[in-house]
Amino acid sequence: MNQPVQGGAVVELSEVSMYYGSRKVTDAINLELRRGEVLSIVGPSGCGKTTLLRAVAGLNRPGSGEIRVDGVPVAGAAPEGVSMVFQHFGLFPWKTVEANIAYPLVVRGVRKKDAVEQTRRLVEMVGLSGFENSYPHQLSGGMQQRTGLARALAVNPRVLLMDEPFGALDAQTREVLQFELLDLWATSAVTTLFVTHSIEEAVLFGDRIAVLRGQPSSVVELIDVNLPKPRERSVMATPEFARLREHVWNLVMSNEVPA
Amino acid sequence: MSVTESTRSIAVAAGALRAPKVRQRKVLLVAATALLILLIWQIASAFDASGLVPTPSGILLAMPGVFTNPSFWIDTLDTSLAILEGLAIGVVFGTLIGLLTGRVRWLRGLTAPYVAGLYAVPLLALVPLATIWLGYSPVARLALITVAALLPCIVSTVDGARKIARELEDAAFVLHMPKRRVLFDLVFPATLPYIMAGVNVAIGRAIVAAIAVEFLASVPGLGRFILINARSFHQDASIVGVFVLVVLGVLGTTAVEAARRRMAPWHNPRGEK
Ligand SMILES: Nc1ncnc2c1ncn2[C@@H]1O[C@H](COP(=O)(O)OP(=O)(O)OP(=O)(O)O)[C@@H](O)[C@H]1O
Ligand SMILES: [Mg+2]
Repeated sequence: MNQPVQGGAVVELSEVSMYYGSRKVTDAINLELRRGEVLSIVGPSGCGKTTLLRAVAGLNRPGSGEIRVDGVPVAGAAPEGVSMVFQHFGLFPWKTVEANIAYPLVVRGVRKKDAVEQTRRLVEMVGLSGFENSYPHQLSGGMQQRTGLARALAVNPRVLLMDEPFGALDAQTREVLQFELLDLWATSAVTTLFVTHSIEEAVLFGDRIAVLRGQPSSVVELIDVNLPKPRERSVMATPEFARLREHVWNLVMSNEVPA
Repeated sequence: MSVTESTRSIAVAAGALRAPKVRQRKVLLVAATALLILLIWQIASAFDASGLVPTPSGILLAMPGVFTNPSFWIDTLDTSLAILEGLAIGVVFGTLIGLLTGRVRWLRGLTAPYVAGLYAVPLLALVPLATIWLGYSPVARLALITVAALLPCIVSTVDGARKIARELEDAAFVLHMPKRRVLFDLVFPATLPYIMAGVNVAIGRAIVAAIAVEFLASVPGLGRFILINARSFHQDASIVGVFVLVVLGVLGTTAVEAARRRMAPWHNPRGEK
């Protein structure tokens, strides 16, 4: 169970329509993520990005269509090896950093000695050594999200779902964590769905970018990001980056600002 | 175990660093206010010709007599034990009922009107009924204390159990928290601060209930001690009894606060320590 799955899972969304009551939020979304691919999802507020992500986690059921992780349909339960990083961190306030990170291991019955060791490794990886016994409220936002990331990585996920993970952080902390995330992807490929409001972030991270729009929303364009991998922050200075950013910006904003 | 223990000691140490100065000033302020009130009271009572208004000096002089009277201690112990017992029953069942009805929607729908109704009823109105059913007895007192403690615990716990952040519920789901552990790993800790707040209210209500039954049903205890002394013009002794009630209430809420710090060191309302 603790062997990293090589390259992450294949995630398929076929004809996925999501509803709240009788209201259709997304209309027949088709997406296929390759192993280890990072797919950025952008789109105007309320277009159903969070709803789609929750569906992959098994939190919401599609009204029609199907989601498969490595060919296995997601139905009801959270698929094994699918981890989520939350916008507001989603940490248990009554658990220390260490206990939060170890929780998914404890639940899975990992032997205590292994869980302790694994937790220590993760704490070190996200740079929280010395804060193992702090409670979330004693940490800065950036440190809390590092804890959230470590907890998500504890189970060696095949799929990482991130819903505006840096949305609640200040600009500087955000950049530091972006850097660390790039580092993570460089060392271990995990299939990632990354929802963000930051177009720069979408281009910086994504192997592809899915632009959602409409009510109900659909994928208006699936953009290939041909920037060198492993990605480094220096790509942000390239003309290709600027071109992609403009392109995505126009797609996202075309309905939001008058021409 | 050792993990939580070391955190606790860190938290305690952090509190102790700031505590002495702040606490000293607080104690001084409270003492000064009390002195001022007593002084005004003593001076004002000099203008009372009837001699029926108790004075601070009179109360002070009455204390030795009251405190050496064994029946006063028996009464105090009697009432205190009844309050403790009723509180314990009320808190345990109130928390269980609150957690259950807070999480299970149809149960909540079924019970909510009765809980809201009973919570609004003045306890005094129930005393005659309690004495009809249970006699003019300590049992009636215990029953009323229990009901008095039960309701605020239910109301507060239900409130807390319903207010668990959606992100935490989502996290529990995605992390594969087993259904059988949801109550202990998510619902109970998330609700704990609300449970404590309920207990705090319950303490006050339990004391009121105990005294009310003793007054109205003449059940022996501190309440009846206060009543009898007042009626036989021993106002000073009566007031001493009231002070003991105040002390009981303060002790209770202090104990709850201490328990909260111990059991929920992570809970940090408005960022205070
Ligand atoms: N629990 C819910 N019940 C009913 N409607 C909901 C619920 N959650 C979301 N919606 C609606 O579904 C639509 C999509 O919501 P969703 O949160 O997925 O959008 P989003 O793209 O993530 O938006 P944002 O960028 O603001 O986070 C919105 O119009 C929202 O009002
Ligand atoms: Mg969203």
